[in-house]
Order: sequence, then structure tokens, then C-alpha cells
Amino acid sequence: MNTGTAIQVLHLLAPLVALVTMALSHAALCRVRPDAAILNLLVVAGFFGLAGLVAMQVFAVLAGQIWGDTLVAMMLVDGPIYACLAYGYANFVNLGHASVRIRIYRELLDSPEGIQVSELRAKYDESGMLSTRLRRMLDAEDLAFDGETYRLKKARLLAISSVIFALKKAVLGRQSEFTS
Amino acid sequence: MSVFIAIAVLLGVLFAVHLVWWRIALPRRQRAVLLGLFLVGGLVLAPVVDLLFGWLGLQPLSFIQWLNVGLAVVAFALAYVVTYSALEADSPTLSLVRHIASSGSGGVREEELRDFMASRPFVGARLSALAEEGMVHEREGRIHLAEHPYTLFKLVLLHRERVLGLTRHGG
Repeated sequence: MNTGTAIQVLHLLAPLVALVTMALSHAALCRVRPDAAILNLLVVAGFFGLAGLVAMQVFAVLAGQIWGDTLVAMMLVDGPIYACLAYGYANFVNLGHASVRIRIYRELLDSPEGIQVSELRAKYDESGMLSTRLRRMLDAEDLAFDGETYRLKKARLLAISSVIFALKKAVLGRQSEFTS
Repeated sequence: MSVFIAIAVLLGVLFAVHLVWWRIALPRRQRAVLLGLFLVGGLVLAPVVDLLFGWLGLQPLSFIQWLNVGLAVVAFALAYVVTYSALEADSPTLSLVRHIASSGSGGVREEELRDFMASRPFVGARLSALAEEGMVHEREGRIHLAEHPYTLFKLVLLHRERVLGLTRHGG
């Protein structure tokens, strides 16, 4: 394998190595800190993955690539690919954590005889969903409660919601499934 | 740089096709069609991009570099399809956050939040979505899982319970 091919292979593998690093470190963190906020653990694991990505760039330089080219490759290609993979992984994890559909699916999996609609609605009413979400956001310090009212403490979820709602408008022509 | 240009052209064209198609007619199984569009469309367009490079006098990509482009398209497609779930169905958490933020520094009382949640039938909408996707069906007044296994959900649960060791229920 010549130098050029070796460098190309390193850049191809870099985001995958970074993703595996992120996934393994996330699994380890969840085992060590099972009660920690899942978003916080994902962020920490993401940084471990980033360290893996940087390590692969160093290997590319050691293989003969000049620093400038490595930096451009990392910023334009390897970095964005890792960002997409890390985002996909984070959402995959969050599905198991927060998805109502998956929770309902789990209940049905445990009930081969089926579940009455009224029984499901009693278990998964909007009030229960509210309590779970408020507790999660308070634990992750995204919300603050002063004994009477809830306020936003961190802006990160609002930033995410702004992007999502803008995309909904652009792609689907509406901002909510409950409005036309 | 050539790799970046190839990725940008492929994703740009595929995303434009997606936007136009969705405005004309929403497909029934939106996420599956979206994934197919990016993956199959990417494979179809790649030789066209290769021809374009030759026409523009750009250095052609090697096989390894095309694999890199493929990885980028797959990674973006998966990330976008995952995001699309949040576009299709309102996220209770993000809807709550927007509602709390809109109240400004005054904050929101819990009763107001309960009224807000009650006005949005998230659970009913999720049950309808599961039925529409063929994952569940109703029989004699009871909801049952469809006969075929839903691989993604099984993978998510397996990962959560066996890999992460999280036994607390989510949802």
C-alpha cells in the first residue's frame, strides 16, 4: 500500500474509529454512572470520540500527510461525518430513553394477549408524560423550579427545538402535527 | 477537497429532490422512502458526479475516496432520517420547552403545563402512528403487536438493556 492510499484509508476509517470510541465510552459511562443524565453522558462520550478522530489525524500526519491537508480533511470531511454518526448514535440512545412509541412497543412485547386501549391510555396519559419530562429536565438542569413556576435554565433544548421547528416548516409546511 | 465537493454535490441534489417530492406528494412510509432516496439516489448519482468531475477537469476520485463519499452520504442519510422522526411527530419535550420559553422570565405554573399537554394528544398520535406503520393492530378491543418483528425498536431496546445496562423504563 503506497503512502497516498494509506492516508486515504486513515481518513476513511477516522470517523468510524471515532464512533466506536464514543459508543464504547458511553457504554462504560452508563455502567459507572447509571443515574447520571443521559444527555450529559452522551456529550462526554462525544468528546472521547473526538479524541479518537484527532488520533487518526495524527496517524495521517505520521503516514506522511502535511498538517494543512489533514486539518482541511478533518474540518470538511472527517469531522462532519463523525458529527452525523455521533448525532445518529445519540438519537438511537435517546429513542430508548424518551420515545413514547418504543415504550408502548415494549409494553406490547410483554403482553402477547394484547392491551386494551383504555389501559394503555391510563398508563401513558399526558400527565404522566409531563411529570417524567419535567423531572428529566430538572435533573439535567435544563429547567429550574422556584417552588411555583418553571423556567428555562439552559438554552440548549430551545436551540434544538428552534432548528427542528424551522425544518418542520421547510419540509412539511407546518410547525406542529396538531396544527395545519 | 475533491471528496468534499463530491459529497456536497450529491447531498445537495438529493436533498433538493427530497424537498420538491415532499411538497408534491408525501409518501406513505416517509422514513423508509427517505432512506431509499439517499442510498439508492446516491448510488445512481455517483457516476454522474464522476463524469462531471472529468468534464470540469477535476482530479477523479480513487475507489477509497468514493467509499469515503459513500460513508458521508450514509452518515448524513441516517442522521437526517433520525431527525425526520422529530419532524413527523411533535416531541413532547421540545414542545414543552418552547411553551416555557414563550412565557419569558415569568415562568410557567405546573397547572398551565398540564393544560398545555392535555391540548396535545401525544399518546393518541403515537398509537395512530404505530397503527399506520403496521406495527400494531386492534383486535376485539385490544391492541396487539403485528406479526412481523420491528427490527429497529428491538435493536434500540436490546442496546439499552444489554449494552448500556439501563433497566429503568424510558418514555
